[in-house]
Amino acid sequence: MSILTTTPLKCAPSASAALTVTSGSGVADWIVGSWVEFIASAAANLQLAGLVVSPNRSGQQGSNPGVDESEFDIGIGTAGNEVVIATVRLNLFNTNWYGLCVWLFPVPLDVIASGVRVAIRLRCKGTTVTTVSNPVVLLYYQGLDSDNVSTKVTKTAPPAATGVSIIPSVSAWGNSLWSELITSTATEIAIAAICVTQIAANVEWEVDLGTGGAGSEVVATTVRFQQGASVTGTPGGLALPAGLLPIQAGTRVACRLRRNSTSIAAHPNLSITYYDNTSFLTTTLLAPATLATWHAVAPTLTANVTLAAPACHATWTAVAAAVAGGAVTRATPATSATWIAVDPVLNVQTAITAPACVATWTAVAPTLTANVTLAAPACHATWTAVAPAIHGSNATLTTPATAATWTIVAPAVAGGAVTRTTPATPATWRAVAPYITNGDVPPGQGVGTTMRTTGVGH
Amino acid sequence: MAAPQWTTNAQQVAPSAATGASITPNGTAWTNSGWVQLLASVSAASVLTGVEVTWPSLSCEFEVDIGTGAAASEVAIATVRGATVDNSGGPAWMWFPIGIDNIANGARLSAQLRKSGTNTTAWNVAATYLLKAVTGTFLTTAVATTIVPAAAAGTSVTAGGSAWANGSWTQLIASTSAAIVVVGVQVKGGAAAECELDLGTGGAGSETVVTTLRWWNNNNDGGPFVYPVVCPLDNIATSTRVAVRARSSTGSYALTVALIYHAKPL
Repeated sequence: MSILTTTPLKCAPSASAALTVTSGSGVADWIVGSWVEFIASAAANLQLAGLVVSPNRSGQQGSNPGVDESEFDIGIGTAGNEVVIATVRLNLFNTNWYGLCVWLFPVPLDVIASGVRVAIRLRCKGTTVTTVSNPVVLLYYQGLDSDNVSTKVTKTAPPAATGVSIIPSVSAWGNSLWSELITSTATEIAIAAICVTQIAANVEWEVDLGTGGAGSEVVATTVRFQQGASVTGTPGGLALPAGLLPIQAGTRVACRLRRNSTSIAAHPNLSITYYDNTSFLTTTLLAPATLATWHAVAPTLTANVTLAAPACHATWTAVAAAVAGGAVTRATPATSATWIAVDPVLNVQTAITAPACVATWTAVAPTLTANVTLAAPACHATWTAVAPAIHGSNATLTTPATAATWTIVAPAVAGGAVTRTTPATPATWRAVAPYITNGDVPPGQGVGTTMRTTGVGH
Repeated sequence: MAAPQWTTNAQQVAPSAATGASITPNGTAWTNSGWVQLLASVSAASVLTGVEVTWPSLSCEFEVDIGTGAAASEVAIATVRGATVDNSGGPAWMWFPIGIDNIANGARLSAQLRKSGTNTTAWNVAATYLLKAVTGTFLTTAVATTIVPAAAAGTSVTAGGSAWANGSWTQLIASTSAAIVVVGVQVKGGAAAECELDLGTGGAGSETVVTTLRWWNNNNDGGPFVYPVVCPLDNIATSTRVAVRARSSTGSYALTVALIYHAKPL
């Protein structure tokens, strides 16, 4: 794999003035303008690389910081039949945004086939002007020979709407409160950039992107930037490290800021551009073939995942904290190994098989909502299986075939029977199942017959 | 096979939740300042992702080194290069398309500055980084960035005499000592104009364009005027002459250009 390329970057138009796109006419916000053709017919498969957006726009709102937000749609298709393949959000304050006036996709979009027409349109926030006209240049590759490409559509949040407003802390470098950007992601997304209007001069800032419920946000990443003496100059697009920040489906996304100032003037219009419906968090992690220590961490998976075990003599740890919507398969080490599998939240079937021979094996799967099979080691092993909450159907926990120490703890099983077989040979065996509920409800929540049992066998 | 760059690691900042470390420039042009500590010790081996720079109101070209090592024993692991016209605008996070994987667990992070001119007003610098292990796909290298021309004014390049006419090719590197991967270009212009810069290889009079950068120089304000190459350019072999030429909406538009790259192997 390589993100490197030998392909030249190109632009349209080339060696001539930028083309002007114009927002829709009217007094309402976000009225989209007409499509403007940039490439009549792609000479080959093209990959979108970015936009050059001139600050020399007419109809701009001027010094009002609340009205500089703009969205550029890039579309493909014949005139009148354009389909949006990318939306880019920029806060274009006044007629001055400094630097090079370039917005680059962190991952070029490989979505333009040979012969396809490419067009761009614009919409802006603004209630007191009729249109905004903005010169634009399209940046692209032709036949990009890099792995750093995507076929996903880019979108914005909040879409075609004013960004969130954040009141800073009264203390320098104190955190603001979190402000919600997305209530719940419909699919996995990958955040590409943060867009913000700057209203204060000579400040250094940090913006946190976080995930989690209100009051329980966890910082996903932090960006750092500064604003110079003029508050009228910002391109608005702040890149993220390593390109993209994937966020699992069903996740709330929020942001907060801190800065070296005690002013509490609200910072308006914070928004994001992201790649939609990505699958970065669905992956296959292959183990090393030989002696190695391998640590695979896949904390947010939304579909199938296969974690292959080392072929031999290795220490292997697989952690998959949240897997929803697909099966998980883990292969065990073939030979002597220490293997730890931790699956705290599995919503579908899973099979966790034990090592084939002498090994120490720990499997922890505390919240399972469907069938689960935890197979015991075949021989001489210490095995611990913990599955405290199973909401689904049958669970089968088989014992070691030979001398082993084996512990099963399954305190809450709802909706299905649990079968435990004892070791065939002398072993230490402990089974604890205090809550068994004959109904499809979590333990302790009322419906069905609840029976408390405790069994200890030696 | 598509394998875009991504990570779920949270980016860290040094110094964190604090004003950037203050660096007083040397009063002699292109002479290093003293090293200034950004962080006493990283909590794990790390990958450097970028540098945030705040500068006073002046027109200059500059380089900032990020280093590791004890005080008085610092070693530069990467350099960013930029230019300013004044201190308007922002942001000024100068990021590495290829992460710098050369920070050991417990390492001290520091920075030093050199620039054109003799102004000694203090600058602020902060570094951004990812703690290892990095989850995701992120190309990294332990090879530091190289700047050409280094610790000197950018190479002067002039666009053709009429709008969008090519200027002459101007040599940046006579002969590369190794194959290189281009990750950025500093392009400091004059007045407001639309600009294109061709990067080419080959002997004088036989240059071949290997990439083209397009931008809009607005009102000649702000900075840092660095064009990051998101997909780093890997088509310049060893022993190759590298040159640039410009064209602009304004005839005879003047630029200074500096190349930012990694020497191979990465």
